[in-house]
Amino acid sequence: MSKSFVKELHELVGANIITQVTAQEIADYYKHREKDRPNRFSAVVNILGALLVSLGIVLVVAHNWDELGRTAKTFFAFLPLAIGQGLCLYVLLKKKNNIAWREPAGVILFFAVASSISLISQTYHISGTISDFLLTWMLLTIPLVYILPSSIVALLYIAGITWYACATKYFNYPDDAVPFYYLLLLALVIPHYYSYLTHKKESNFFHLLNWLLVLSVTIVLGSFSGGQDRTEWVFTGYLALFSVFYLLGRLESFSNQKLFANPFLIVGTLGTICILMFWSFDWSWTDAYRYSDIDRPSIYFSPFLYVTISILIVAAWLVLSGYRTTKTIIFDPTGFSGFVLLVLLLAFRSLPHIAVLFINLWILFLAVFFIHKGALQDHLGILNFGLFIIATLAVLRFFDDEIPFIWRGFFFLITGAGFFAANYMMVKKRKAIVKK
Amino acid sequence: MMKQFAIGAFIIIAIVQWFVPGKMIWDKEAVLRKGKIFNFRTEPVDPSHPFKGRYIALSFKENAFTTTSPDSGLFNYGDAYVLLEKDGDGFAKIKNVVKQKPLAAPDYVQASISYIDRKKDTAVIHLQYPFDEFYMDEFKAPKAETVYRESTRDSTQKTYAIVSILNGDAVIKDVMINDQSIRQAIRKMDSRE
Repeated sequence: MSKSFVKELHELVGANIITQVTAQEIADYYKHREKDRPNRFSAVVNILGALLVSLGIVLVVAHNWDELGRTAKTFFAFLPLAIGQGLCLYVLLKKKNNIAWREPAGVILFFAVASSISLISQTYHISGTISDFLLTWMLLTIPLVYILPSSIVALLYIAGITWYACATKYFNYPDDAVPFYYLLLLALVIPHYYSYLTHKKESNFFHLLNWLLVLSVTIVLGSFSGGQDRTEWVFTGYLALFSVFYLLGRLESFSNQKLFANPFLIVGTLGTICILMFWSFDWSWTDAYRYSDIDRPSIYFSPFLYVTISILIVAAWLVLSGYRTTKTIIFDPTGFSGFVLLVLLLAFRSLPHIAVLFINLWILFLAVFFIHKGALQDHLGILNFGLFIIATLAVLRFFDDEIPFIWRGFFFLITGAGFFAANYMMVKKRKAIVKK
Repeated sequence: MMKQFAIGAFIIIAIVQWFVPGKMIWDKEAVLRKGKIFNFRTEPVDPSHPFKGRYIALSFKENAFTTTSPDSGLFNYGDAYVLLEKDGDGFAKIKNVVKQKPLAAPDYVQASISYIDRKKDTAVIHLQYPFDEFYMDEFKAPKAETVYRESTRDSTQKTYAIVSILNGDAVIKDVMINDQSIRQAIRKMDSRE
């Protein structure tokens, strides 16, 4: 308990606001709470220390010690592993509830497994891709997430499987391999995530898990597209994913969190707006139309289209389950953007100008929705986000040669007037509240 | 009860974490002790692996096989078995490439088909061996490339990898430049400097 807090309590007793007994009870409560709360600072410092030491060991191993013989190298391959396992066993026996011991021990064993495999691979000159290495490493360390249990290992594991998927697809040539194992590897961490979702929603680890999962899935989704897939379906797939993120972010579990702790809402909203902005250009649609008839006989001959539809089914299920629990559909158009792009691509591919008009109107609709929501909730952040969408759209259209100057001129005049009107109405509303 | 279960599970995973690298050592030691030695002519360059460090990537001269009766199974990319023999100079030479694991042939290595060049009656099968990385001290690996380049200026010099082969598995024992280990060649270069 801080000195200033004790001083404040004395002041309150002195001013007869609380009694001496109440002051003592408050002091006891905070003392008790501090005792129950694990030492966060020492846990963070230990985790960082363990990370740095482990990475140091990995780098020292990567030097390749030619002077050492095979026996010595084998000994050093198993040494970090034995130390890491010894620490974890000690934690399981004596320090199971001490986060300052548990998490660093997990980190050390996590990297010890990597350095052990690396050193043996060097000793025997075992060739192999980085994806194979990561796959073995991740499978050997995922049990630590549940046995210790270690949340930092879960975070490192998600980063590792993301790297695995990228190494298999994006950093590989030829890029025809699809990282299907990623789905299985991701499924292995879901029970851990679920236990946090149900019991430790306020924990910082839960927020970090959310961020890493959202970023990982966003990065990896594209790796499931192949040479057969058309670019527009990859875009639609991403938009469908962002729709799912947005709908998840609006669920009660996440919407009650602070904004930074809701990556589903942040990534979902920003991703949706970015993709819609891309499709608001005329050339996006004319290119999609042009290449569709030259390259492939049918637009349906693209496996990624079916991935997209599957993600949209999840989005539809989220909308319906939201309806079942609240019994009303609060119409928020952002989560429907994936469906809109899919329908436009299927129905208006041969009429690009109409599709462009629809997408621009849809973006305007989203902007108006955010402005309206911001005004209703008296939330300047949301209102400004809506205005920001319109401003971005206006800038993009300013440089769009396909639209006649007169239309662009009118659009700018209306948008500018909209800004003044929104600001005026907000200020007026606030004044009215102050008067009341 | 829960604690005992966690300790039991941890002991199992700890054994698996020892077993995987242990099995790697066991298999490779067997190849080194019991395997037959083949010399593969090489062309090294030095890239690096984020965990394993710097290595010399070996590109083998004997990495393609022309077949006049292509086994239809070979036209699927993936793993293949390379049957080996020695040429007149004692270097490894591909005798045949088959898709099924050979039961009778004594000397073969598992490789992957990287490319098939189809012609009218023949097919050239390009292979990638599972022993194309030779790990070296991070400061020596770049020098190894220089040593190699120097040796190639003289057409009489030979560079090759000594590879031990057993039951389809292989381990590189050393990379040689003119019958001298590449590590010795680097040491000599250092002493000259």
